[in-house]
Amino acid sequence: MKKVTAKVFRYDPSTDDTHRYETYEVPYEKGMRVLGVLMYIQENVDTSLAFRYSCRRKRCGSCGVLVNGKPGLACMEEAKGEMVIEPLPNLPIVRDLVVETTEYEERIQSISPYLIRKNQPEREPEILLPDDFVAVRPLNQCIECFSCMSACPVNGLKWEGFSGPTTLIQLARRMLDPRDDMDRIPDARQAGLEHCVTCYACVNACPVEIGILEGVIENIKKKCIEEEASVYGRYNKAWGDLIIKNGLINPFTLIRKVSTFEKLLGNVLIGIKFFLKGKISLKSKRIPNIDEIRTIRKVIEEEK
Amino acid sequence: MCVGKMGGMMTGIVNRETDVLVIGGGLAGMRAAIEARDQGAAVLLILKGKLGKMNAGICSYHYAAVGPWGNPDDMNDLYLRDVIDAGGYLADQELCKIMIEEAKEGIFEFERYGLMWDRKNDGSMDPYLGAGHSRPRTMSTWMRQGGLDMIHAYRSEMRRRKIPIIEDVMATRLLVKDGKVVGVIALDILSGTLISIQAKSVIIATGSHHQVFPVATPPPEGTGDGVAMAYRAGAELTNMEFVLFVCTLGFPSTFRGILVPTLFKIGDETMHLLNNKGERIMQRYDPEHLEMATKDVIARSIQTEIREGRGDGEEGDTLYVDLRHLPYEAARQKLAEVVFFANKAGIDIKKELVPIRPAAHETLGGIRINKQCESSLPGLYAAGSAIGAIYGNDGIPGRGVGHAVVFGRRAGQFAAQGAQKSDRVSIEDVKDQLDEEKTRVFRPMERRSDIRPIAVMRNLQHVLGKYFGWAKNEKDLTAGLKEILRIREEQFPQISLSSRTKRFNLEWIKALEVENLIDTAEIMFEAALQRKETRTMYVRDDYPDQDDKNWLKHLVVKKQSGRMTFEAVPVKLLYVRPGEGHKL
Repeated sequence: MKKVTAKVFRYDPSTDDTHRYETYEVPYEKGMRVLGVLMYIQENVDTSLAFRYSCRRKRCGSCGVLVNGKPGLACMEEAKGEMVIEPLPNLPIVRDLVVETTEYEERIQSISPYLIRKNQPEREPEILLPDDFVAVRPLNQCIECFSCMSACPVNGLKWEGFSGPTTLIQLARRMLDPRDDMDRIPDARQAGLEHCVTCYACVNACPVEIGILEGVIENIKKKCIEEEASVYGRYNKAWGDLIIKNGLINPFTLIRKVSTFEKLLGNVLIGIKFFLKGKISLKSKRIPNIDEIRTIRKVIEEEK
Repeated sequence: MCVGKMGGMMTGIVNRETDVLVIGGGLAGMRAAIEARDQGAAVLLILKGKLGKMNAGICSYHYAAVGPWGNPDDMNDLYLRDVIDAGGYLADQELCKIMIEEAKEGIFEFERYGLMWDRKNDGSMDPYLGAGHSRPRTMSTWMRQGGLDMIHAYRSEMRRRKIPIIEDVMATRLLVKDGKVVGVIALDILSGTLISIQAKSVIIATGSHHQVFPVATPPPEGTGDGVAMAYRAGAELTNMEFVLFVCTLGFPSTFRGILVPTLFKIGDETMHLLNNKGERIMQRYDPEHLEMATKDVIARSIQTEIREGRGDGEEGDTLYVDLRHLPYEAARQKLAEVVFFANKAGIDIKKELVPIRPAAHETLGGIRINKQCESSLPGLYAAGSAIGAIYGNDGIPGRGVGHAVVFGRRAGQFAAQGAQKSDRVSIEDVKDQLDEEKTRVFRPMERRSDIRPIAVMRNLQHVLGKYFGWAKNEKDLTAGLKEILRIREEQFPQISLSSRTKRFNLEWIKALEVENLIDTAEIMFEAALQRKETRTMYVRDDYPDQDDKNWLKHLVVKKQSGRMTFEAVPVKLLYVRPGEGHKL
């Protein structure tokens, strides 16, 4: 009989000093998934194995694990050859493959993840055009399985300045909903989306194929730039305007345009450091063929 | 929504207090919590898993309600007839009427909560004609993922109101004082400690008990925890003999839960139902309609094939759906989910057959309620699938969600009002019950034997699979009941655990679930033995006729002085009488 081998992460924080891996051989069935392997082990080999699952059809998002280092849903990942099965990273472990996701729940909670309207519609059901919901519809499919959170290298730094892809999906769901009236730009700024490194790890990890980069992060960035409210948006705008106007970036003008006086004072030390290292120079050169760039911008704006 | 931290230890038991306690985090539970909160009550919701992740609602597709979206000639009365007719006239007509009248508001409410129902290009709502409905009034959302969107909408509202929840706890026993339910004891699965929650009103929204069956379509957490707990505390249950079966559950063994639709046509072609010899079985049973025959004819045909040994698989109950002759692209669009999961299971529908098995879809029995969602025990309310089905012995698609929404809201409303009129007991008042429950819950942990909960659960499911099928008879039911009692007396008291860790010990949870399943299974067998008739999808081979003279009745069961007692309560035919319902 054909078999697959699973090396499974085992850890009980109440009794064990450290984690260990146990290897199980499981008879293979056609089309078998990682969840099938875990269930076989739990029913026939080691009944003490702990993991979460529920719907078995990628609707509940309960069974997220790492398979050979990559995050995914156990009910969807194919069982094959030799596998290493581990809990999702960067979270406290309850036991074996079960992690505590309260921290992620708190982050989602922080962006007011619900529809906020100033006025209720005058008559119900209201007219809602499907075309207005094209951008938001795929985001409603997010099952909060945290595969993207687990794949994201910036989230892995456990740095407070970045709230992670799942939080951003939930934020974008509301920002892109034409019914929502709340100004969510401050939340977007808080979420630190400028720290996304555009590596596509979240996109590849998403079991429901949400295009997190284009559909979420780029869309929020676009909103921010449109609103010119966030530092990020103002920075881009100011940067572009300076190039077009002068053909060079004057760092002092740039900082003045994107920052407040208080912030400027706070950044004086960094400024001096930059200056001494040659990152800020008073002798910037003008771009030679600036007219070409001006033409490109004109064409782009006309097309818009 | 905020995830609770425990506080206040007493003899190893954590103590919590609230006005309204909701047990269960599906559609009904969340809706109840939202309503009770909006009524101004202090609410706590506890559930066995993570919020928005463990419930049957997430796998549902649609919501049916009469409203301005439907045909101008549609009205509540027609929907009522559809529902009552499908349920073999055993519906509680008063409750059905409430459900149908209030279902419309739920549709609006979901959109206020951020969901968007299917729209036509002009922006108006786009309902479709659901099976069993006489008018198009069934609504879903983009990509037919209805249930997912509904669950997420309610979860958003839980988050908006920051309603306190405790996840990963299993309620094990109702606290009762002077005949009134005053709270619950629950086991915290993460840490293995008991929690005592004193509440003024308790709402059970723990769903159905389909895990008594070896193959079931809904998720695995449906182990009848709330229903069994209510029964043990003395509450009345009803309709326990009824189960909604489906016979075409796709069963590539690695993918449970995908139903293969039978009633569809691509051009003039239907799917073909084959047995293990490759014969198209409906040619034998209904040559005129073939696969487009009515649901009960198809069910009976499949059951006959299985009985006569023409099924495959370990249990001999696997037949096949043949989609090979259908134009692939059209089949892929029509049956997107089936094709997706068949592919994942390594089945190419162009060349191979899709194996199917009969399965339990929903257990219809549960707690008996009145219009205010009150059970027969003061202080105890029920909502959702934990309610003994109000529409009789079968339900049409799309009413389940309406039921969860309407009775969820009502339970929340009346539980909050009830809480204003009552006082909370202190933990000292229920100390005896706490001590007793602590002993019961920890017993499998302390016992030494080699009988494991999972083995007992599989034995129990095997009995139901064998003796509690779609068509029943006295001999099978008596034999099955005997087996259940044997499991209760010989195996259950011996259960012990392979690991004694208290942290997230699923085996321990399973040991507690097994007891709930044994209780519900025993009641199901006893009730089915009582109902000596055949009525639509409830079939007794030894009593093949519908018996309106003796059995136009709800079978009500409760535990009285330690014994199971039945009472047959006549159905009140307030609005629709047998034969008056709509026939398609």
